[in-house]
Amino acid sequence: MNALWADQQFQSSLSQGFYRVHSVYDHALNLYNNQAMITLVSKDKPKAPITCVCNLSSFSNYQLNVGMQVMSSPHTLSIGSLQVDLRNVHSDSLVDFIGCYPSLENIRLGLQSLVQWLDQHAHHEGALAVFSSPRDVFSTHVVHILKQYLQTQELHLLPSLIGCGIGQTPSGDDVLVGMLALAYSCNHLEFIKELKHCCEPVLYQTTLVSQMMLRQAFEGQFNQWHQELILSLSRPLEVKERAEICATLGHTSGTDFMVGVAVYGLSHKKENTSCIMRQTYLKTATSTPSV
Amino acid sequence: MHHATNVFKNRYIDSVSLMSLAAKVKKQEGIFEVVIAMATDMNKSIISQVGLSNAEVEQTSVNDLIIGVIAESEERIKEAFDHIEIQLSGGNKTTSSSGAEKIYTSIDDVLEDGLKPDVAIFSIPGQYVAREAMQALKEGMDVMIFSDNMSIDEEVKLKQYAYDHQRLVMGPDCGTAVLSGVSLCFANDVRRGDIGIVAASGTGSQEVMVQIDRLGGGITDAIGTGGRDLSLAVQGLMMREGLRRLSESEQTKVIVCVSKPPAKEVREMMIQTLKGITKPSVICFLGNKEMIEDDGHLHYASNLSEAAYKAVRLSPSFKGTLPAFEPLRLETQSSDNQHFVGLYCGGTLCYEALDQLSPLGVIKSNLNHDEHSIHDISGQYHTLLDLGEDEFTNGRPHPMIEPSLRNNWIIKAAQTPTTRVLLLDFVLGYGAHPQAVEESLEALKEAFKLAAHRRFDVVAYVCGTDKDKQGLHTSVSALEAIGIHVAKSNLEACKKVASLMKEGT
Repeated sequence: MNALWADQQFQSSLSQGFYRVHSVYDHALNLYNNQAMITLVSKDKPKAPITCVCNLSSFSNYQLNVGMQVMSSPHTLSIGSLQVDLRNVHSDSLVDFIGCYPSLENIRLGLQSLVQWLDQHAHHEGALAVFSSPRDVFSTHVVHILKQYLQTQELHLLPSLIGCGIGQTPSGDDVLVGMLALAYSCNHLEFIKELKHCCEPVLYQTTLVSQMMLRQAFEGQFNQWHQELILSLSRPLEVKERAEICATLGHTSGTDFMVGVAVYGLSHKKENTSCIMRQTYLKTATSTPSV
Repeated sequence: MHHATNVFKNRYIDSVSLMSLAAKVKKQEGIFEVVIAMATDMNKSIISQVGLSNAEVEQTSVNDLIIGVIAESEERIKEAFDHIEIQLSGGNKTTSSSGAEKIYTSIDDVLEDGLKPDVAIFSIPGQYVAREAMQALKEGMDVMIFSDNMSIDEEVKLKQYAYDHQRLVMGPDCGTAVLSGVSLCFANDVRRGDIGIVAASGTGSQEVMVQIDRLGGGITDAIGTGGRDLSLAVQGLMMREGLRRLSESEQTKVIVCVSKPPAKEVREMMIQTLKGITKPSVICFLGNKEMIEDDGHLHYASNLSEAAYKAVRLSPSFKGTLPAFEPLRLETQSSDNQHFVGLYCGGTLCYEALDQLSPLGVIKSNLNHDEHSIHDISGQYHTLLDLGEDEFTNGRPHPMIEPSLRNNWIIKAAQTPTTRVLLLDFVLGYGAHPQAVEESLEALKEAFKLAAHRRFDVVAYVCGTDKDKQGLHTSVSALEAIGIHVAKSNLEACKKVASLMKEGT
């Protein structure tokens, strides 16, 4: 089975140490050693940092188990009955969207469109449920933190999102990734630097998968669908379509990411963001009981 | 109000599945709250705030899954966790479409549900097996007994009942069977065909079915009997019942009978039984030193590969051509101060090597029950160890289940200066470790380093097919990539050992 795409970081990481299977999902396979985690995904999943997109529909037929050893050579990666041929892999870079929006005003309509989408899809199991009704005790905490942050703009509140929520990439972490993505696209490097300074000491408190995702996000590396969503913000007609795609990304993770984008857009008071958007958010957020 | 929190170590389940599980449990009567989360510090803090933390939760790491339940009674909590266990045991995804499994705790429970199973497999402490197995027999089931430690008297009683009622008791200590194409415990994924196997040895049966598959043949059934079946006490009761079934099976056109050497009286009884069956049959009593000529429809094989070869040649459905079979004829060699060390997972494969390599000189082995019995690497003689025997597995899994248990032995063999050749088997298939080969690669690389200053070769045999989940090709490639000679059969591995020993240092 051929690898379709892998970034340079994946290929260089592969030669560093012995990997074992960390976790197995139908469409993703996480491999780790003591220093790093790398990921294989099925062909329907987006390109992402330190990831290899494989020409298969699902990993579920390969009887892969946690702890299995990974055999690798420069051209092949083998895990049990799964063999990935890396010889003809494409490794073109992910789209660079950093600094693509010099002003939030440029994407005002796109953000409005995104928030409307979130509002219309309140039944979805993703983090947008945060804005309608608490899905569990963890989302209640996330709402509480985001509400406080929107009112005070205190960055030191945000690290308490880390590791909060169910799943391998807890909701709080996905929200932070969304905030970082929009911050990067607006070239708000000072915000990113300060947020990184606040969050780095507590990154170890979340899951290994999420740690890797946050570290990449702090360096401006996001997966293809996240990037496309950010780029589509300047094209309101496309943003809903992009949002639909992102909503399928790790089920809850995509929508949690979009909440992060929306919150960051709303939180920048210096920018002339829409009053409607702010009202939409506050109406739903304040209707949610706090912890 | 009652509450309980359980920790599931190293469990990774996607968030939607977790939410779905929580929602389902919460709908159960008398359940007030269900909290599911990975054990991050923040989640643990919140779980503590809602009063669901406990000492076990405090000890968790971020790789663990925490599930807390608040309910009206302890009984409701137990029901909730029973449901959660079933959902989680369905695999990584609780959204699996396979449906929930029901776990039964007794044969009575199964029967009360109106089910009529054909086979019952027992893997419970030996002292309890006989009673349960007898109940299963009386309910019309065939029985496979994976457990050992059953007394010979109990075995005879069970088997006599089974024989009288045309039922099977496979075991005790039986780990391999294929019935109507369904593999039970340890077995390989082989082609269906017209050759039926009845065997008193587990890896012997696996080797024959694998070699049949590689030659282009296929099997109908592989019936195990347990190692003591051909003893004087048991009188081959289940071998005879197995032969009866295969003789009556329309699909089975050729029969293969495999065993270590039976008691002489029992051997004669088996041959007489086979003479009464008109189907062509291949008899392989390993270690039998008497040369026996083929007699009518009875064909004799002195090793497992030959048994498979003859069976395929006799198979009416086989339309290919086979090259002439080359038996292993070894010259007596002087071992000087250079020896081979065989470290086997498969008992019958080890026994076959012991038989085939005996011309090379004195071989010490734990399979010997005389002055050549040994439980360690000799250093002064050739050594063959069956690491699946009780003395090595007491309190630990069998090396076919956990091959890394052999790694220390591999290092020890390399560190022994007189070891010229290291011989290993790797058994693939159902029940075997998912990375039967990969688990030993680091140890083997280390062995080559330790013996880098002298001539040291490793010969391996991988008993498996391309269809086995571990992947034969992957396994062989991984071994060859680090310089190991990989043979196509256990017999060929023995040939290679003899050839390397002849080359000397």
